[in-house]
Amino acid sequence: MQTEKEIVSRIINGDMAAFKILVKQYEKLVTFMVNRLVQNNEDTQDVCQEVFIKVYKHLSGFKFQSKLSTWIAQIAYGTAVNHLKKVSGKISLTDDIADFENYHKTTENPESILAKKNTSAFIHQQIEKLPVHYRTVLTLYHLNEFSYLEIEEITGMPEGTVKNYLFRARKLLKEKLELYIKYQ
Amino acid sequence: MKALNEEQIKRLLEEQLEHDGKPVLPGIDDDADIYRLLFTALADEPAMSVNTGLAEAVVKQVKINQQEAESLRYKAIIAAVVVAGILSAYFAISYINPTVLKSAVDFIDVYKWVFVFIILCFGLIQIADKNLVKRNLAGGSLSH
Repeated sequence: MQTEKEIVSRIINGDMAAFKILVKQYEKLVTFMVNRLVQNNEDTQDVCQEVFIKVYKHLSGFKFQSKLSTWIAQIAYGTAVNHLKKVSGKISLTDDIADFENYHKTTENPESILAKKNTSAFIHQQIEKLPVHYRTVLTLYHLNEFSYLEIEEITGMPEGTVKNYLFRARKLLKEKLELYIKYQ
Repeated sequence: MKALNEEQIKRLLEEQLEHDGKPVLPGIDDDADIYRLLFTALADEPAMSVNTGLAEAVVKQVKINQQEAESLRYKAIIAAVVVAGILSAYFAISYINPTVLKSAVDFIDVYKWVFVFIILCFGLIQIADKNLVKRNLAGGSLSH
């Protein structure tokens, strides 16, 4: 088993097989993250490809001052956010969150809630409806298992903001889940 | 990703309940039970397909980008050489002795077929490189 440093050094020396290993190692991390942000299957594939091309291009500049996964996630986050800005104009964080909080207050039709097969699928469906920054922190923390500090490094959001978004997102999802269980 | 253990769920629960301003008494609170369910669901991988051919597609694209960059660099070098040649010829003509210039032209005239042969060889090597070597490289990238 080769260390990340060895793989990176092989890639810098032009070894494409080593680069393929790196892509396979991080494709889940990048795909989950990009998919949660972009929410369009075709675009997700293009953005993932763009992320790894950027990784290849800038790998010689990576000095192992952070974890490789954090650095790749940082590139994935930046690329996905840029893509979102391109397709849907400038992301307005405040409006996005305010809209959702208002949307959340409206009660959802119990039949539509019942139609969702299981808790996990229901939660993932509800995450799709959350504002982009909530989706980002939830995915990075719960799915990709990054720490608060690493999420701060990846997204550039202060640690306090990361925690706040995470707690609020979970609270919103908990309320949805409560409703779901009640009608089940 | 990996399933959460009891200790991790307990820590998450304490943090969340504290943030919600609720007493941290997991087990006797309904909220705690729902949060437990939520944390487990959040750690589950979403039912979505990871593109299995992503690594191959990325490697192929990187090779194409490298070839394009190389080709661009090659064209830039040729352009620079041509421009430098024209400029040096322009300045050289004004300094050169007409007798020397005439003998140079006569020399080219005598050996013109040698020059034509060299230029043809250079052109053929370039065509062969493009059609055989580079095509094999691109084909190899798909099969590996």
